[in-house]
Amino acid sequence: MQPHIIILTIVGLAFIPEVIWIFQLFRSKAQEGNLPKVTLRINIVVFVLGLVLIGLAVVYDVNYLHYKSPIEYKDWKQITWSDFRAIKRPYHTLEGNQTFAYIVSDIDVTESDGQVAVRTYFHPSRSYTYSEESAGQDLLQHELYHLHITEYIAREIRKEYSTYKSDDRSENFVNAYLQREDILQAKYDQETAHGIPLGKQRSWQNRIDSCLSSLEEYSVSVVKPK
Amino acid sequence: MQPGKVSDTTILTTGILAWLLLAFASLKLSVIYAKNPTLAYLLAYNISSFIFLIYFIGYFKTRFTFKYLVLLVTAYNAGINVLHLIYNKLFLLASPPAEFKQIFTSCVLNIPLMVITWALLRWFIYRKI
Repeated sequence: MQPHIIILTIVGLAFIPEVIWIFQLFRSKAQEGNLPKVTLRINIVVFVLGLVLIGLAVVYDVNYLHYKSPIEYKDWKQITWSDFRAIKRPYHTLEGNQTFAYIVSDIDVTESDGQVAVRTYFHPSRSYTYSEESAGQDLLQHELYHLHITEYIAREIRKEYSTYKSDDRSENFVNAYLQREDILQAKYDQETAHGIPLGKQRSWQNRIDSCLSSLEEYSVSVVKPK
Repeated sequence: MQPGKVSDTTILTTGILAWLLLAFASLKLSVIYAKNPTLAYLLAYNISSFIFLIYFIGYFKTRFTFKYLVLLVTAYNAGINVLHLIYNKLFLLASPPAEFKQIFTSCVLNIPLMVITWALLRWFIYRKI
């Protein structure tokens, strides 16, 4: 039996006595004219049930049951399939195809003491592979190049920050770069068909590698604006 | 109000909050477990609002006037939006693509549905609107 069905069954069973109790109380107290108190109790039970079910939904977005902190880009070589820890969604497919993985990466920009730290992170507890049989090295390469694209955009942001004067810095360009990243990630998936034709995949890998090399001087996370 | 008595305001406030949380949870879970998430979201949104309305009509009976309906429709639709924003801020790195479109479509369909449900129920149960 799949884990999510077990969890749902346990949650359901845990609330059966509560529901029976409410109905019994409702029936007896309503006749006594004490409806508001019973309704308030129902509200409290519904509130708790809502919180429990939201907790269940959260686990599908961030797997807190098997959590691992985000991994910074400098440690990308250590990423393996065992780091893809999120819980797969039961009917999630890629246009009907079940041999795929899902990687989540992001760029974190923090400013302090006149310096800007632009860091790229891979999120293990938000990333997953759909099928363990499909989790080969080629697919891992494809997913890691999503992370390299994020780092390429982070380097562009660092470059932009390094040319800005600290008094006229604007944060608008960060959002523009993040939008550019979304477009680039989508184009990468579209043109490589999620890494299936190896020729296309290799061509994109070379392209991303050369983009990263061209911005090698911005590979350090912390930037000091002029 | 007498000591120990529960007021209508308390019932409304706690009820709205509780049912909103449950409705929001059912929306999130419907997207996770359904084969067609868009349709499941739309159905869960409207079914939840229907239960939400029935619950309060059941409690307030003839006292459930148009004023209460406006309050509930606003609280439900605005509340779901606010919960989405809070959830995204707390647990997601960015809003899922097309989420706004999905919520907006559901809201547009939901408002007339709740008004019609309220009018029909009052008509069939109490013979007055």
